[in-house]
Amino acid sequence: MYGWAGKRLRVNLSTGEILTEPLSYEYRRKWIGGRGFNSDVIYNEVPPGLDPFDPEARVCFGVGPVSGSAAPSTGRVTITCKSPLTGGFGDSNMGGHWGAELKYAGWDQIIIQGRAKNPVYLWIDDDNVELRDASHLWGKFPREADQMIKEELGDEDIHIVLIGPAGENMVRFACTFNDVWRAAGRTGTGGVIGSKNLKGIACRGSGTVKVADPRALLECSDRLRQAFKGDIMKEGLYEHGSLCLINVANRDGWFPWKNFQGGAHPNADNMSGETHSTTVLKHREGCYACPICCGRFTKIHDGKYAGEEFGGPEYEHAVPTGPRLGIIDDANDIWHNARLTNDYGLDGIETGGAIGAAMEWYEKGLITAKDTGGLELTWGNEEVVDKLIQMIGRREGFGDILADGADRAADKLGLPDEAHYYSITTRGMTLPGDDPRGLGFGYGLSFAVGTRGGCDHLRSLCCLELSGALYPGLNTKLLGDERANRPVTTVGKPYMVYYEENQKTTTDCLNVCCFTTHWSYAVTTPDQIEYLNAVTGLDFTEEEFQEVGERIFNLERSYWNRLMSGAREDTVPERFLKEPMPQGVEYQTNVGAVFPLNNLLKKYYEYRDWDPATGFPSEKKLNVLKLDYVAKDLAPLRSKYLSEPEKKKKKYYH
Amino acid sequence: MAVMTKAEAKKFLELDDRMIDILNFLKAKSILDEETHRKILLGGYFRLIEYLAKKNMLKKKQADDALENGFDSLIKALAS
Ligand code: SF4
Repeated sequence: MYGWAGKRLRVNLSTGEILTEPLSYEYRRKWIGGRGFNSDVIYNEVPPGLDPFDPEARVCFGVGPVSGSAAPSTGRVTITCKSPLTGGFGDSNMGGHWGAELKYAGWDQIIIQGRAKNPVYLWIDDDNVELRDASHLWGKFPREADQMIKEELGDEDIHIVLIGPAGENMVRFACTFNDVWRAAGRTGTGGVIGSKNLKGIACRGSGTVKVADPRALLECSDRLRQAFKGDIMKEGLYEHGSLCLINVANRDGWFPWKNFQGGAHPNADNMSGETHSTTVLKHREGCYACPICCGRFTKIHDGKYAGEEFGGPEYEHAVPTGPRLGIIDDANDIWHNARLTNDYGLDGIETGGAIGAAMEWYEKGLITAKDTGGLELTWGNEEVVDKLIQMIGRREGFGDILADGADRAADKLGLPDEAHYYSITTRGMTLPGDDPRGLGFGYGLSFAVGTRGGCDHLRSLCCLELSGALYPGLNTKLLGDERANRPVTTVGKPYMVYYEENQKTTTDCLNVCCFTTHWSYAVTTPDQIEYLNAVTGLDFTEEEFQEVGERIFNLERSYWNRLMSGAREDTVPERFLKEPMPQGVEYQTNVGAVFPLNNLLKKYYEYRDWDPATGFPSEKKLNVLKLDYVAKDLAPLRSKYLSEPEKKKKKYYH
Repeated sequence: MAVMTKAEAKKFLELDDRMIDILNFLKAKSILDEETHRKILLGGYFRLIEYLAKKNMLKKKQADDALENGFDSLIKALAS
């Protein structure tokens, strides 16, 4: 067998049982890998009614057939679970080197179930797999635990997945890391791992990826690497990381100022990639086999946080605990907050979302210092933000309430419905730092229908509207309309979202970084199939490959449908639908914009062949995608979804 | 012979999002079957042009124009 290792590991932490399961040819062909393998397991093994923190819940780690090969940026890993934040389908993927290492150790996937009596970590040394005591690691930051495990195992070169204290404390938006700084940020995978008393997974692989046609793979990989030379997005990402987007976001009005009350600020450049590179950038870091190398490493030199060092930040990491909370004057505050969310193992986006919502409740008088334990939640109050991030990570005081996410916090506090208006969530998950009134109507549509909740930019990654204008002709070639590259237009957006979602899903099955594919389309679907076939020796066609993407997307959608989440819940926070974008800077391009979601949804359903009344995939569509068992699951639920008791829109599940 | 009337073309040109309507139209005219409709939708606009050119529904110059200018050119070509 080429490409895949052909087997997965199943670890039951309650019994200590460790099993090897073969992955058949048919199975691999149907799901390809990574996101596909994981989504299948979650759909089949985690019933919709199960509490995500129940020991019976699963958390899966999956890599793809080209993981660890010479193809560009093939070191990613997808982590999937039933999200404790939303109660629905949840996954997140991360770069680094662990994904490649897992493959070298001879595994395509790990399924974790059960709950250990005491804290443990999993040690995978090729075929030798054991659970080891992690009591001494409990409470440690990932950077500390990583070092301790390496010393314990006597190997500095192993790669380790870890959670931080937030995961241990089952914060509903705790994230998961590997190589200390590379995060699977969204949906609360770290909380599920923590609920199982699992601190991490250390991995050492001495094997390799068996490649069917090494010459073809090298030729293809070399050609693709050349394609990045001089590429404008590659240059931007290498020079300034994803912070290269700050000034663009500010110009085009999608820079989230004070919980999206605004979309631009005169001092945004304080935290731009350009400023970061010339003030606090220590060095650059890349993931496995990456031709872009967008990773940053930061060292703060002055002020009260002088001496702090950490990996990052990303745009989506810095913005939520900075400008979204009214912090912009001193960028060191923003870098520090990003460092804190890393250390505690928190999803920066959700942390900023929860604190931002609370700040707006405070501003609007829905809560007072009495509710917060004396914390004055005023915009830009760095002292309070610093405290609150740590309190969330430790589940202390008001932080314990916010640790359940903004929507649940509003309900726990007994706030009126109005509070949810300020939660800025869809399906219980807060939106990332991309205001749909600026970036753009395609992104907004993808947030509404994303299969992991309010999602983030990475579900569909509508780069055809974000950076399409930098590549004249690209939107015409793929979508037939160059005007689709304008963010604030409805032109071509339903097709764009459908198209990009499918592309992104297959990319996640290969566990390849989407920065190397979607941003510039320097690596296209035919290129991906070329290296997939070179590695596996199989004959995937474009149609078959893309159908896998569509299959997985519809399977994930059906998971939500089984929870009675469909067309009614396909929306974005009302602020974007109702409040015209105010002017923040003179040169802002989107003043007055509101997001016309309803104009887009109907057409999008047509592309997907989803029933407009329920938002469920049609039976015919599911059958075409070889998901007939899913069609059977959904059959009795279609009318139930339309029945009176189900009619109230739900904010989150379980 | 024109695949669509001038009035139909006008309607398509007014649409914000055209891909699925055009594909549905071509399917209704039996220019595409169900499978090809699906394949093209997944593959992207350029796959539609490739298909129509292969079927001799577009001349070389029309196909080149449609690839360069998108639906605006394609719709005009189909109506000519
Ligand atoms: S582009 Fe950045 S995130 Fe993606 S693989 Fe490269 S270094 Fe990692």
